[in-house]
Amino acid sequence: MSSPDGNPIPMPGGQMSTRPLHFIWILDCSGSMAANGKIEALNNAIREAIPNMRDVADDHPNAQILVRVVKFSDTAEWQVRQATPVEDFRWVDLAAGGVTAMGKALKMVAEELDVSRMPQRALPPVLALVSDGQPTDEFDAGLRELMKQPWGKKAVRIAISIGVDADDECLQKFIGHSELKPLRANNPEMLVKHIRWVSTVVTQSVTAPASSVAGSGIKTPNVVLPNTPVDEPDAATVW
Amino acid sequence: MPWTCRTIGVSVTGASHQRRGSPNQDALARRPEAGEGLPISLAVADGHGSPTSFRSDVGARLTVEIAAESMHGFLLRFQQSPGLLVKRTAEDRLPREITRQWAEQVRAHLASQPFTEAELKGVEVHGGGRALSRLSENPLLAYGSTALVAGVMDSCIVLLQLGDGDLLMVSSKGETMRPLPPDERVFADETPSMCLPDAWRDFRCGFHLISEEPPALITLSTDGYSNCYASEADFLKTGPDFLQMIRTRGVEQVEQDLHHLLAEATRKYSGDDITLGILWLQDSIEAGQAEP
Repeated sequence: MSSPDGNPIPMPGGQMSTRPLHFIWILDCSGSMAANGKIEALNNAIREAIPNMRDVADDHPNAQILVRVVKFSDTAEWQVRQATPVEDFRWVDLAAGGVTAMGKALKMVAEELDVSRMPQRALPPVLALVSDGQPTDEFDAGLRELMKQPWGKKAVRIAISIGVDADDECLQKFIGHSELKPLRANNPEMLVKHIRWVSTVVTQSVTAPASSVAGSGIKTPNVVLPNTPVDEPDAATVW
Repeated sequence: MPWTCRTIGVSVTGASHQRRGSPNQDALARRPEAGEGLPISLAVADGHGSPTSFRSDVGARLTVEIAAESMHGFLLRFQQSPGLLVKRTAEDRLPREITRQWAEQVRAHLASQPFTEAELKGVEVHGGGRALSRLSENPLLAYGSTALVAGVMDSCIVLLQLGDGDLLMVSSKGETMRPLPPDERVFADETPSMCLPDAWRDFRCGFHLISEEPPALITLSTDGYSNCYASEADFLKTGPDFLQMIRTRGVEQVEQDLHHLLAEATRKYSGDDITLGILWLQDSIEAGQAEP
């Protein structure tokens, strides 16, 4: 870098870096997701959202977006455990089958958000939970584990509810803020819209968080979230 | 050994704020305003910029003006006093004085410019009825900011900090330390604030007697700056590097350089508002220059 007089200006300090933004998909792969093309729609929606996430990354160079994926059915496991720069992230289709170990998935996310594993200068993580049913394991215990972690509390938690059988009560507990409701997807088009909103608009908002006042009693995320997508009035209810 | 002190400081709007069209929420002030001589004070503040703290740019400006003035006034009154008295009085009085005046001036600002419907709507949209209720109970929330203050006189240095941000002390040999203890409540953009009741209790205070080894530099910066660095060690290296820059390029040139350096730092790295103030003790630097 040069000053206006053309002389080089040394940048003081050591290595400089953008702030990491951890984005974690928490995805329901239970047997019910195999019905009516839901898992196929989910796979397509996330795959289609990746270029848009990369655009967000390009437009917000101060954040390094790192993506992970945990899936749950009979148990929970990492589909992508290594926090992967969005530029390098590739989607591998999920398959559906089994029950709904949502609680275990949240516990696994909680372990990754332990303060010893997260840099202090990280941006608030984004946790996107997508489900079409009711948890079949200890959901409350899993959520408690997540919320015990300071980064779990600081995370922007969004939930997408697929179909009429989804447990909105659990999803609302996961979100933890009454001002933000689970996003309802009753057809593939709405699922695409919600996935894109979470992976782009929400991510964009998190790249520039404000400070929040410790001890103010205000529990909303210190991230300004824009309006959620609205369903078309005559959209079909497929799920 | 006679010595003097000068301050330089720059504040830049964050790259992400520029993209959104938001104003700089940081502020900086010094006394005397010419930034030279003893006693001298420097204050830096970071307005929260959240939907609830929608006037925090005003709050930050009030913080630095009051803090710099209060610190400077205190040092003028106590510059002939023994060090222990200065320390105890500074710890006991300055945080209370700063927060008291700040609350008074914020209330005066609010009285002359009540919250608008649009401002309150913004709070409700983001935080719901609970946030509106909190604001109604404590309107100062709208103006919340952090505070970092340094005062230097012949015999001693007084340091105060409330909330996040970074205060470093650099020796003439370039050894850099954090002279204040950490605040465990500072985590992931969450911070104690000037706007809370009894905010004076949340100040961290430091006192340094100047005897044979005065520091060469004291730097105060908002967290937008340290968030540009990959690690604590990388950030602490700014201490000796700024010292070397001042020795080789001169303080006036370094102040010019800061505009470009901080603008580049926010653009490429943190994206946040960045404010950096430096106090440098001139004789210490010259002593350092004389060392082999």
